[in-house]
Amino acid sequence: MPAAQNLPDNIDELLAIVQTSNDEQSRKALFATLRTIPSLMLASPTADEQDPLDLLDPADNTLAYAYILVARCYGDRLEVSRMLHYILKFLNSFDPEEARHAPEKLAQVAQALSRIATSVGKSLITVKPLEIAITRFAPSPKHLTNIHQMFIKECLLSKCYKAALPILDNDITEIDVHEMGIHYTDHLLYHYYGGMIYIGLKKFERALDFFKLVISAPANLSSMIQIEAYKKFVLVSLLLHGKIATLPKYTAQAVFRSVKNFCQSYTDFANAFEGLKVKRVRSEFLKCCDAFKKDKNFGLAKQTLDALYRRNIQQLTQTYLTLSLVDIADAVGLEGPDAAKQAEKYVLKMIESKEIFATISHTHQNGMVSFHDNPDKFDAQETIAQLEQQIVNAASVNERVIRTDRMIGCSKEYLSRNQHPSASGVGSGLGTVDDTELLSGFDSLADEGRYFA
Amino acid sequence: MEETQGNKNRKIETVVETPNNLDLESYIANYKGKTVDRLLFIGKRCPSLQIDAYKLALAELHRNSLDHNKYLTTAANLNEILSSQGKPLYQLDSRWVDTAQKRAKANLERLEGELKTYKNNLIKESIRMGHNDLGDHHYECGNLTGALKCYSRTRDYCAQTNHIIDMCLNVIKVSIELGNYSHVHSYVIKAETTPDLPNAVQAKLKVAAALANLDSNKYKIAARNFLETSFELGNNYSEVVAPNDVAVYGGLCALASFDRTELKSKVIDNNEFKQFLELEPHIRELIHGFYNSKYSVVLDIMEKWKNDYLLDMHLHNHVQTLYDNIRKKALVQYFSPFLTVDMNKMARSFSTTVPALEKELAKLITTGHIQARIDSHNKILCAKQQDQRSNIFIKSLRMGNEYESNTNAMLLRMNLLKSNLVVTRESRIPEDKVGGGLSASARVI
Repeated sequence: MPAAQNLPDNIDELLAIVQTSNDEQSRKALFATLRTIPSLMLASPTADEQDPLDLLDPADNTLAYAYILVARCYGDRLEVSRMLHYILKFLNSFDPEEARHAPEKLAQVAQALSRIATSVGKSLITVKPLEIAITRFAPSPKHLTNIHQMFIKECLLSKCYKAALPILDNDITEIDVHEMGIHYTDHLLYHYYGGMIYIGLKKFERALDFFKLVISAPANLSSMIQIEAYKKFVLVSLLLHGKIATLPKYTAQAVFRSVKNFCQSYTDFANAFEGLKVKRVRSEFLKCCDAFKKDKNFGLAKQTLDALYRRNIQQLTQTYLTLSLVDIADAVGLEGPDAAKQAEKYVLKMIESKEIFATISHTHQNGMVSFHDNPDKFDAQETIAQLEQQIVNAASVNERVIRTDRMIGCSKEYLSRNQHPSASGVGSGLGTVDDTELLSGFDSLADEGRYFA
Repeated sequence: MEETQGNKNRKIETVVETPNNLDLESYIANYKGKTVDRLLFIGKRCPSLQIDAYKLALAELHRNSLDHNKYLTTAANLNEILSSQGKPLYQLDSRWVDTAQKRAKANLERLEGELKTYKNNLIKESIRMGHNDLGDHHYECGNLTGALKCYSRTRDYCAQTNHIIDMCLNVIKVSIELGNYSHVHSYVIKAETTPDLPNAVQAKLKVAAALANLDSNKYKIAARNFLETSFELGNNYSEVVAPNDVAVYGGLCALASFDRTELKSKVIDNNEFKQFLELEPHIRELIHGFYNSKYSVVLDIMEKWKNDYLLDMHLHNHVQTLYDNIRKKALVQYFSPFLTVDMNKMARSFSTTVPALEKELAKLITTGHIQARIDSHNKILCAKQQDQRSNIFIKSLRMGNEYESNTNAMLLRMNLLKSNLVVTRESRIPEDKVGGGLSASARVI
């Protein structure tokens, strides 16, 4: 078709081209053409007043559909319900292969969807379509797409934390900039929002992992997202471990520097927290209160105070077999006339959540708590199943590592670098399947950013 | 840095009550040379011995030194105390001060002149001697840094091994007085590498090394050094330590840091050290009491001698830590053979109350020194049965999780680097994204 050379003058001509380009070559030409057409023309109806979107099938003509859709969504007149209909139709049936030729259009469609949803005040309606779009668009669940972070953000806004899990629970390891149209902020935001979702669901371990990914992302400078993530990272690690968790050693120096400048109150608070002395933590908390409120981390910070008592009680289980409630209140730093009552409340809550194993007896005057060992002897069927599942997981991770290693081993850059016989074997895991060697090999490779540049 | 550390430690003023066993004159008779510092130290810390200590110090200065500055300040201090107590003032010997001043100056000029001529003549041995004499003079006048400088200058002119040893010993002596223990360390090592060390010198070096280790709180190494000191040390090194001190320091450090078998093999069966212990029988009793688990005896002796040790120049900073460690070890050792222990009985043998003991034990358990748990209801201490199998399960499940997430993070990182998705200045963050993120955060929590 000669259409690519002479641009269509109106939407009717464009539709004609779209409908007739069936082979590989003409499609390529069409994609190039679409890029040059002004959006005003794309947004116009046909000569006989028909909607071009009705005439096209999103499954067959994904890109053309997307271009027209985007042009319409950002046009002046917006018919909300009609556009919603088209967007949903598109997201449900677009052809992922074709969409990868212009991933930014998909992102724009998704953005249009969330704009419309915000304008009518219902973020909720975006959640499911975006999830479908992600699963259709990503080549595998391990791939990051440019709509991941939008999806998670919508889940946050609409408070559908659980709805995000099917996507979040897959660890992202694959990045394809060209086909998925990813910017570094996509990766940072996705994991930052993801961490927040996990906080909302009280899955703090996962949240911590996600924040770690954000903070330790390769960086020459530090992004504000990383700094915000660090703040939450500090509070979550206090909740979980009572001290700031260690960051991977490949974390960029720039991040450490700006963390020092921007997160002083958080590190101060963490230092106070590590001592597990209630009084000091409280006074430090009051000092840092404004910073927490400003960063909108106040609720999370308050949870750490609660966790302080829990942590202290947890420690008592290591030291005591029996202890009266009064003594517990005293030991963990609860004060006031009803300290013993409060202590009892904490102990009860912790027993319920299986953080500790204990019984409270009120035959004794003050209420005596006996701490027990973990009754789980790890001899149940479930434990074995859990263990096996983890072995399978580890094996699959291992396999991916080996595959990546081979790929690097075959890559041109690697081979040209290791041409000299003296350099052979440096950082190479080819042929060796020993875990530690493989990993250390990777470590050194991953640290050398230049190698991939 | 060492030095400032030392100075800082010394600033902590503690007032020590009258010690039980200290007789100032016989104590000071154990030492030769610079006993003044010891006396001043005691004077500063112990009000009840203040006047005597200062007087002895003044007498000593008057008799054996040219350090007129110290004489004057000490006298001023003494007079202040005397006047506050309404006692007659000490009479300054101003004539001595004058002559001391003059003599010091004359000596200094003479020695410096001599050194100059030696240097012109380029005779190594004479230059060394010249520096040495000058160092001795500075030392006598109380100018320790000057002395140190002169002694270290002899270093370039040492021709024979005994010169090197002399130089090292001089530097070590001055450095100890200055509290500069890092110097002591390096010179001890230097001296020890010279061949054919006489036993007496070796003993001196051991003691010096031990003091340096004691100063940096390395009690175990210090204890070993003290225990390896040969008895030939005798009174040869009494300008630094008396043999009695070796027994005390060594004994306390060993108790605080050795385990039972080491205590037996290195202390009780150590014939050399036994001779030191003869000088301080209470330390011998202390060690045997500890080894034979008679803890009330141990604690008694320790309490009785505590004030004495607080007045010791080298030991005072470490008394509390050493005592705490010994007590801790005693508690651990007391419990070790039992499954359950009645805390009432335990409190009695450690002469303390049950609540205090409970606190102490709780601390030991949290720090991991005792594997046990307290039954606070029945006041019983029970040994903890470790369930190794469960631990392994917990550990391996955790390791599996860690491995998975770490490896995934690594793969992601590799791919990010490969695609060059690095945070840089060129690609600015779109404003709307971050803004939206932060407002969202408000809603999560």
